[in-house]
Amino acid sequence: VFQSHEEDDRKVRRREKNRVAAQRSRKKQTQKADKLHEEYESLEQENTSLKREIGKLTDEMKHLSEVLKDHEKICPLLHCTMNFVTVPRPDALASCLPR
Amino acid sequence: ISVGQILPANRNTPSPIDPETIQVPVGYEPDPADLALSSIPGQEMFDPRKRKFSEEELKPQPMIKKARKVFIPDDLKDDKYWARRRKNNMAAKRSRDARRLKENQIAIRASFLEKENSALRQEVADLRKELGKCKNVLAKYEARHGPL
Repeated sequence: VFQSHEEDDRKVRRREKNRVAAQRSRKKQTQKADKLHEEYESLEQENTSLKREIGKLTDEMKHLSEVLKDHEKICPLLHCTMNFVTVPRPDALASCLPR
Repeated sequence: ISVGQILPANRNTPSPIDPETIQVPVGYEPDPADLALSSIPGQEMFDPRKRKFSEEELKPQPMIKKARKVFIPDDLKDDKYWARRRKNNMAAKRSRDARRLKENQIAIRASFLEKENSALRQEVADLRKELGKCKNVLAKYEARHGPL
């Protein structure tokens, strides 16, 4: 009878230990997942904002190259036949056109 | 047009910038073992490039009130009981598998985004540099010869 009490005692202790360990493990798992989700969300936001900025910058480049192209057609320095001073190389401006 | 007004506020652009359409080459090959763990056999292979995860999916799982464990003596463990146990065990397994799969998918996509963001940042730097050079040339021209 004494022995069976001992065994029960041991069982109870073991079960409690396992319960606590399981609880710890579950908590660790949720924390890990929460951290991942947080990082993921910040990556998505950064991703969107970077793409938006690339869009803005490319638009600006397009606009700028258009302006330059239009100017090339009427640039007094390029078209004036009576101009004896050194003409600025057209490549200086045109080299800015997008790749 | 002066250099400062390269981009007038009221420009008439035909279409707003849609971040979705912007693509940058990203050399990313996920570990095929990880990919396998993130894909459901019956369905399409998981693609980190396309699959986004909404806020809803990222919310921590709602805590369902769990019924307290009531001890059942062996003689009451009839067939009905075991049928119920089996059903619940299967459901629990499905739930665990689904959760594991989801977490793997999110991890792969996060890793892909890291690579993509780094490529995007490079693109932004390149564009800024390019733009700077053009504006510089333009400014020099305009300094000598007035506005375009």
